[in-house]
Amino acid sequence: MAIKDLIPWFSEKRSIERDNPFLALQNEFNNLFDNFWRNRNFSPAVFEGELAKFQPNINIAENDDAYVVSAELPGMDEKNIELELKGNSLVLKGEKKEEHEEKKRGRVYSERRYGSFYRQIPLPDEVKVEKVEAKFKNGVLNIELPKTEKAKTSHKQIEIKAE
Amino acid sequence: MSEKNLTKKEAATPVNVERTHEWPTYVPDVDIVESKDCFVVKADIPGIEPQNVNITFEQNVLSIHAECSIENINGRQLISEFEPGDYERRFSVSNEIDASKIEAKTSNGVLTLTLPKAESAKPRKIEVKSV
Repeated sequence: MAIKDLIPWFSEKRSIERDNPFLALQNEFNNLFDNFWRNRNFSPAVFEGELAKFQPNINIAENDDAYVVSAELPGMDEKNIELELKGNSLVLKGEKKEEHEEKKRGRVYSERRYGSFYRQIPLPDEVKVEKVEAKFKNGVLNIELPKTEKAKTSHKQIEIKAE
Repeated sequence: MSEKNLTKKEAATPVNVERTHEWPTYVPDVDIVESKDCFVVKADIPGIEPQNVNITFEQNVLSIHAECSIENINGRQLISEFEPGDYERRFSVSNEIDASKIEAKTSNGVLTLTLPKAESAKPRKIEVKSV
């Protein structure tokens, strides 16, 4: 066995995997589990009975007054996007339809994802349901959710006293 | 577990060229459909303003380059699954395309390019005469 196999971080990843198929297999399993846990929404799609075809990427930011959630949904029409507030969770779902004119179609190369999507985003605090605003621009959906008064004051800084 | 890969592909930095900005450059997903008289290329470029898309066609290479606008995030990011970035992709295109008639339009974050085929490339029906 070559010395470099004993010090995996030292050499290039690919050359190790080529020499040692077991390590390559283990790395693959590690990646598999990492990707599974990385997906924070692994319950809702199954519980709702809807099998989403893809999940759009989202960003969540928070400032003192509101939460700002943005989702990448290129090629969607805002009429095909459904946004609901269920308790403290924001539910984003819809269907991205593809316009393929069947008879004109010749050869097709497709990378873009389409189909139904479902995403449930839990919010840490309460929001004012009537003041939620959503805008769709350039394929990005921006949702602003103002926090309730109770949520704004629920953050308390804990003072640390020196002894 | 969604089997579709959520992460966007980052564009490879071309050899001997350095990127002059810190934000990432992505490779947009495209759909290419060929029909009888044109190719239609659709690229996903969410978050890009229509005026920031540059499309050039030179020496049989079609380049799509879209610049993002930098926005300051007001507050803390709790979850960040996508970061604003440029989009870049190049295609080499054969002489089948009539370069002077390429059209482009943007809608809802999707760039649609119509590349009409040159006359010589369109399929021609050949009449069979009976003698």
